[in-house]
Amino acid sequence: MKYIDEFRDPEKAQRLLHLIHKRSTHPVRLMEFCGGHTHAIFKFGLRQLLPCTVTLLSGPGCPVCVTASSDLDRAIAMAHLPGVIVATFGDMMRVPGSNGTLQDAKAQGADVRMVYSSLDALSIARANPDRPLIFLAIGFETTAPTVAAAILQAQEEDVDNFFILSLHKLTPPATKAILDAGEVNLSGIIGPGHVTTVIGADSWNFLPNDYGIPCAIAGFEPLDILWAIYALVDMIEAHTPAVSNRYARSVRPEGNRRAQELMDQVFQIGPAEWRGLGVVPSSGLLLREQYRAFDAALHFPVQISPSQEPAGCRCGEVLRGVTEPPQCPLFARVCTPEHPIGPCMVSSEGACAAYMQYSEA
Amino acid sequence: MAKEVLLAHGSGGKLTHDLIRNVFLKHFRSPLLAMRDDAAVWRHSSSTEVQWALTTDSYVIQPIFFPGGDIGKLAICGTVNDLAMVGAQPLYLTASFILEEGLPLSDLEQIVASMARTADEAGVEIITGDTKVVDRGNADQIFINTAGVGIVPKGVHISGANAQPGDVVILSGPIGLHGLAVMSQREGLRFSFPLHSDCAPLNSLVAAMLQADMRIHCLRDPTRGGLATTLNELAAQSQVGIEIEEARVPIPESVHAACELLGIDAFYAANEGKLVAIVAPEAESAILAAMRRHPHGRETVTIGHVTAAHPGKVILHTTLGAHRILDMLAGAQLPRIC
Amino acid sequence: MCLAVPARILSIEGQEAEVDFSGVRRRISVALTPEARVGDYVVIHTGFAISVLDEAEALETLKLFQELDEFTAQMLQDTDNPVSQSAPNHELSGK
Repeated sequence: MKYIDEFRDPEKAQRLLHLIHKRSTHPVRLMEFCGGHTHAIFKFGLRQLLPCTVTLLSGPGCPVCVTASSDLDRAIAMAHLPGVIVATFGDMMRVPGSNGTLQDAKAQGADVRMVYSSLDALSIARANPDRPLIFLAIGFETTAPTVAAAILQAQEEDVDNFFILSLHKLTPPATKAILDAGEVNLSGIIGPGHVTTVIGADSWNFLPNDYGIPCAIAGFEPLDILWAIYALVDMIEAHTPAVSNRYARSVRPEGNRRAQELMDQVFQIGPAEWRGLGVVPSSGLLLREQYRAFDAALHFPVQISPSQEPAGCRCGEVLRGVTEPPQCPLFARVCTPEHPIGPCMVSSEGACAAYMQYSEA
Repeated sequence: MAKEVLLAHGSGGKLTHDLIRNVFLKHFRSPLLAMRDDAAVWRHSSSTEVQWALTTDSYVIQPIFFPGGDIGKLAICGTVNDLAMVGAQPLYLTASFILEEGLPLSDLEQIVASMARTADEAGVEIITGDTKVVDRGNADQIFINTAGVGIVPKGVHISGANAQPGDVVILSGPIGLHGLAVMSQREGLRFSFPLHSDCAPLNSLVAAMLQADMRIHCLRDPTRGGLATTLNELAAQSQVGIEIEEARVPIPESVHAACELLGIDAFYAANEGKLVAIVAPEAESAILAAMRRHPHGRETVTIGHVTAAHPGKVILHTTLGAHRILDMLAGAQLPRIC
Repeated sequence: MCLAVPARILSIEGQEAEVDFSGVRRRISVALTPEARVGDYVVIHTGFAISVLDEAEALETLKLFQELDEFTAQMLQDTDNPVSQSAPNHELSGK
């Protein structure tokens, strides 16, 4: 059992699709919250295999896409500070701030390095004790505990040149913000499998209980996603909204307690600015008082001019599932993968990049 | 267009093609260059049948030693293969070096010995060269440029623009080995990868193919930008559509695993010992048999066909029975977390 | 949202583990999964194990896909009640 190919079996996929086609009788609008789901849905071409009654909308679930332009401008400004090393996940390199990307900053001489893990960023800090290392801590509840663990390790080894710019965001508050805005009527939510591995399936109970819409937690292989779509269609047809855990091999009702403890030890909940959603109260993670020594925003204040979204860019609406990429005036004309304007085109998780790269022929 | 040269301009994808079109082709006007094949091919004078082929390539890979090869072996294979991709028999190579002050001479010797061994295996001679040294920090240990000249046998006319609807698309073996072998050594990623780079000279493989059947329309080695980028280049040059069966494209399990781990796509990973051949349908069986008899073509497989529909586009039929566009690589392919 | 992949633990020393993923090996941290043991499959995200995969659960899901037809799907749906009102028994997956 290797947990990948078994969940890509074409024959089982056809059977699941058959069930979905039979069970779905009237139109439903399902939001796949997570960028990873958007990517997988396009990569395997699931959209065209589903019945026309099932519409999939991508949500604000790509940590790069939802990073506010002002936060990116701050990171780029920090990268240009003398002696500073900025470490970041690969996803952030090509996201456009108000003027240019981290990739441009690197080309202009800033020391920007790509890492795969917060621990790799910590080891770069250790290897360069006389230079400040600022790690761009993007990501949702899946990534935040790994950054918390790195901070605790830095504290233990008293590495005093390791800093983070905390851009972590929480998924349930964003989902509430979208539903409360009432701009898009959603019939169901495909729940993010790995975020929920950390926060637990119970965290989504507010969807059936307060909003009367079902949520199915999905893994990232085709069978996982189709199985979650089936569960949603079935709950909607039967009018029995609930939280259905379709990724039970990794997700438990209570989630990963240890990860939650570490996250809570290092971070406290606070407001966060989301690209496309604006400031959403209690939707971000800020370093707690006793870990302020690691706060890059505190130790490296930089002046940034008020950021503005590129004219005509409608990434905000795409992120809220209100607009589909082809309806954006810039899509595929001015905004393309090699010359991206908005973040949804940059990140391969973004809806626009997925649309362009994998759009049906 | 970006205002500065970006790392992504070197990825072999769209940004590279933009740079070539907007800067180089704007000033270098030769029609031979405009063919944009792996090597330029020309007839010295109308009286002779002899067609000459010339190509050049630079090598700046980091790390300079990687599982299955080194920058020296790569510098020979890359240029030999570019000649082979226009059906030429490589004859002579040049080799010029830019060395960083402080490069251990033992490393240099190991690289040069490797170049000699690979040249012997490919049956070519290195007949001229040059060496420059720059201050420490002004180059990354060693940069190598090689150029190669060869002769295209009579009757052989292979170019990226020759694909015809109905042709068959053949791939000489599993993809992604070089790209992942090198990436595993990169600082910051640090994973151990069990397979080696597939870096190898392909001129004898191409010779065997031509012997089996001359009706080879296109040949190209999918290096930077991977298989997807090469297929898009051929579809654009020939103004045809290409349809590929995802299930038929061989991807080793470890390549598949490393790509999942890093969030990258094996269709865009570099190969240094593979070729894509677009051949007439009647020539398929003879060419497949000849390739499978050759040490660098054991796992050759047909992966798709050429069509008149959707010219310039490559369509992938997914394992689940859907179909989607297989686009060219945009910027560089960076590992991602989401 | 969060790219994560399953891999098998080969060895553990303190908070570090070596994992194998179809031949690819990497050192990761098990700081978030203290319960992980050698031989377990774990889900890895940015160099950390974030959960220990429940093989029984995975096999059950796959078995379900195997015999899937209208009836089993419907039956499963009934027993897979909302997490908040848990049904007495869950012989099928979907706790």
